Amino acid sequence: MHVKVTLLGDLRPPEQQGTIGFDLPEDVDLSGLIDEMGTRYGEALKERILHPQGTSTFPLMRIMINGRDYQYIGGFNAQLNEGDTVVFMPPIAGG
Amino acid sequence: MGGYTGKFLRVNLSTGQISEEDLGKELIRDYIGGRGFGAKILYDEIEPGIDPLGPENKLIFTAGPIAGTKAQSFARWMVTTKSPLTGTYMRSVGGGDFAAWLKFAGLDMIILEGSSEKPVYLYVKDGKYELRDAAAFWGMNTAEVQDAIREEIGDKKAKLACIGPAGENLVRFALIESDRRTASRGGVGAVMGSKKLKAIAISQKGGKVALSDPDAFAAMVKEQIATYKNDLMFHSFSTTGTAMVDFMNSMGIYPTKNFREGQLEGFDALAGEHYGNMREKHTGCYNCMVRCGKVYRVPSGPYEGAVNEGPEYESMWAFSATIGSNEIGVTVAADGLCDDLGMDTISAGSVIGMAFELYEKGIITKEDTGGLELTYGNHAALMELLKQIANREGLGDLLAEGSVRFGQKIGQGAEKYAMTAKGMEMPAYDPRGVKAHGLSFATSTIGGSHCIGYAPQEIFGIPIPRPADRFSLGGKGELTKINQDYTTLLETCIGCVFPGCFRWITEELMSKLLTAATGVEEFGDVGYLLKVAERIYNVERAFNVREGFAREADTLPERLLKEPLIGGPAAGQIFERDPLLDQYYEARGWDKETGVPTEARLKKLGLEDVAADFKNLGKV
Repeated sequence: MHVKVTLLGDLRPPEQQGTIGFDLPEDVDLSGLIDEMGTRYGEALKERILHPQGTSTFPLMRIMINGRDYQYIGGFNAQLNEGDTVVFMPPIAGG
Repeated sequence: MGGYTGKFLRVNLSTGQISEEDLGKELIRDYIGGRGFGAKILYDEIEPGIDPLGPENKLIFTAGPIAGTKAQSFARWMVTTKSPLTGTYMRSVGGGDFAAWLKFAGLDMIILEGSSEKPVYLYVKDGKYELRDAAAFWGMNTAEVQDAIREEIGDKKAKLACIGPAGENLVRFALIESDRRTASRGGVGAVMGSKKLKAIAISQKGGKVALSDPDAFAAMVKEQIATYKNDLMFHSFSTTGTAMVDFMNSMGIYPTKNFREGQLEGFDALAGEHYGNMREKHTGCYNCMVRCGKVYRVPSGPYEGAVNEGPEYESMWAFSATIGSNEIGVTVAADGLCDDLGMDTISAGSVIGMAFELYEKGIITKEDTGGLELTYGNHAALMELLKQIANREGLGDLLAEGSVRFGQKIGQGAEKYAMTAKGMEMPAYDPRGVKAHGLSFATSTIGGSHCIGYAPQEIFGIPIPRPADRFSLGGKGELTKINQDYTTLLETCIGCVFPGCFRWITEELMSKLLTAATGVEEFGDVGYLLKVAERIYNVERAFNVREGFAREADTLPERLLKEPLIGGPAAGQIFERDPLLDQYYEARGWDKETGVPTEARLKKLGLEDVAADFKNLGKV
């Protein structure tokens, strides 16, 4: 299946613009996608997202799957589907 | 008692009389300061139904009890009045150094009443107060007049609050400016213009705010600074300020083309990194280590060389998605123009966005626009209209009335394209994709504002007091009340909503700072402070009820209630007004059918006088 990923702010690798496409096996969940991102862009990217204990993200790191906060739709076990859009948002501020 | 100076100034611009008055212990105990003082005095001293631009209206400047101290992010100033844009209670907040200077000058508040026949400015120096001729300054923009008055009084470091041409011309969303910081919303600058008051100038060589327990206060400030430094968000906010277009666009709540769509095509050109590349320096308010202000210089393109302190997020939006443009340079140039002319960027951008949609639909034509083509992406037309609004020329004269009146004057059903709540233009979040945030727009005591009850749980995922799924309705009424009451408490000290949003400033911190600063025993109890906050919010609501606002006014434009949001991850969402309002009134203890605070709730909050007023008016 094909999943679209957007990395905002300083998460985005310098050479990468806009949305990134990932072709993944059918049964992959969010944690599988994050593993794949680590494989493609290096472990440092994973380390920016995941808390060292690996059970959660860093505080205020937001992950949206089709606009929904991942925490409310299964957490890291949230199943991904063909055409899903996943956005990773580091802490950013405003008003 | 520390913290307060204990004094305020009453200036009658009709008679020229200026008097010093004492705050009184009761006012302090029952309303704390800042927003509390403004709301209480406006309710008590203004008769219902008065013309906001007439001499009967009052303009109340306040500084909080810990402004001018070393506590971080508390040196903001507030203006309270009856709004010429909405006809409601209005409070608008500005930053910079003005609040600290007001305190150093020995004042917690200035109440301005009546109106002058000729332009004047209020000069404050060494405990002396004088209304001076401002004829030579009338017509100057906000940057020019601050320089000119500083030169006249011989103090280059004087702090001013002033209006520009928009305020003089009674643009209903004119602002008040101090250095490059603004109290932008609701037309407070038009009220100042109606009083023919060009500026307040404070000449003061520094000063010190007395504290009840200086050691305890210093310990709390140390703790506050450590909290800031240890927060991940602090570093991001300090570096980028509020440049978060890509964040909101990714959530699909970046209101595009007059709130039809949730994402702007080509938004990448407006991403925070591009603002970062244009950034020249950081600026900040008095004793605030965040320094969220950014000076940008446009390096190339049609606005090459434009430079301004700002825009911040709302203005980035106001001059891009409203007109379907992703030209980053115009957001800096238009922001600078609005600062100079003295008008609110949110309302100005939104009413122009409405005009663009009316032009697209053929409801207005080139005959109405004086030949301007209001086609999406035409940012040059936006710049021209901003000048026309401030000078009340051409189509700008109608736009200067705000979206609702503009729609009414155009007719042909144009009113429904006004993207306002209670007549004030909504800021840069589509309420359909963030329900508690939207519910606060609908129920806010000042109309379409993000600051009255910002929902950081939905926007930033901050789980305080609990996490919240942005699309769900459950518990959103109570959450909105919590957010609004928190902000009201924050604004009794006129703390900044940005660090407030992230809860770097907690209720407990405010309690400890207030107690150490003032020595008022009651302030040591967080429950007491939150009760005062709720009391203040109910006084603001009571002001609006007295003016005829009730449940039917707690709404959002029909578009948001009926048309599903187009584009992006929040596509298909609408704003479910009625179930959300029912929840909210229940949490507030207000009558579900009318939205009026019940007698029981008013009495519980110590507002027996308001309950009696409501009885006399047949409201309960």
